[in-house]
Amino acid sequence: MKKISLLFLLIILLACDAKESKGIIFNNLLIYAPFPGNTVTAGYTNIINQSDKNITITSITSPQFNNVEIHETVIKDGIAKMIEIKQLMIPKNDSIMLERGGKHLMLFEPRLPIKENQNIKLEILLSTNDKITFSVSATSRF
Amino acid sequence: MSEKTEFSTVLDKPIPLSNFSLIANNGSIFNTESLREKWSLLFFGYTHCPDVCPLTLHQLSQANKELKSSIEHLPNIIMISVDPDRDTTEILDKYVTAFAGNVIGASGSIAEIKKLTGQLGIFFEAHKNEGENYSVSHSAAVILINKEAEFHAIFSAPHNTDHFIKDLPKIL
Repeated sequence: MKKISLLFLLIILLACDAKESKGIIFNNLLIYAPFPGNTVTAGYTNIINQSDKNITITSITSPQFNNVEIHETVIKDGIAKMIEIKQLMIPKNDSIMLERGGKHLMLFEPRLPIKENQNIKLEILLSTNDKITFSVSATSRF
Repeated sequence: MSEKTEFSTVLDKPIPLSNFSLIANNGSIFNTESLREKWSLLFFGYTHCPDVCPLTLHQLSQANKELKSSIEHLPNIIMISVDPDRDTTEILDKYVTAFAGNVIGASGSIAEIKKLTGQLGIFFEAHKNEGENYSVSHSAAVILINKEAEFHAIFSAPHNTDHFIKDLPKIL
């Protein structure tokens, strides 16, 4: 019965295009290919913490970009500002959505031009000292 | 008297724009005359803004696409870059061209940009202390300019494609 449940969970995760490791799931991860000639792009995902303790993302790196950060677009009094989030805490048994116009990944300075469908590797360091690694295809905005 | 809008504020009396001189993404002069004879939706942003700027331009493009069958003369969508140090004409051209030719880009000296933004109540500030990948805070409003190059209405952020789809036919 347990095997069937695990298989069922795996099917759901695959169907949702989820990247999962160490109790953290990156659901529907999407990274846009940078605009032509541009040196920055954005990524979005729903981060789910399935564990029973708070987990903080302490750093994100990519061998294809010089720098990866988490930012939040904040619109206050009609002014759009981007604020860097140095460490993003995902509460236990909860989730944080990285979405357009809100929190999002910022990937700066591709080491080589990134094209649509090209694999982008991300390495994510957690407060548990676990390091999780996965790849996602760069998506066209159009 | 036009129908009451839900998501935009239409000025009681449109304000004529004083002249300014920018360069469009195709290298031509972009000034008050460039805004005549066609309605224009102006958004102020920068190409190194990968989140809210492309999102807003996408929403405007989608709204125009949806309104194509109901509005004879769709408004131009124009992004004025408030980051002229990084947004050269070439970079701006590549950026707006990615929107399938639906968006015009323009920028110029800070002084000339401010001649325009000052008339529209648009704020912007580059945070160059952040280093090479600095961000630029900017008003997120979309400004509607009428065919006489007058400040006609304002859509305040946060935006939604439906806001433009619902209000533009009431104004144009």
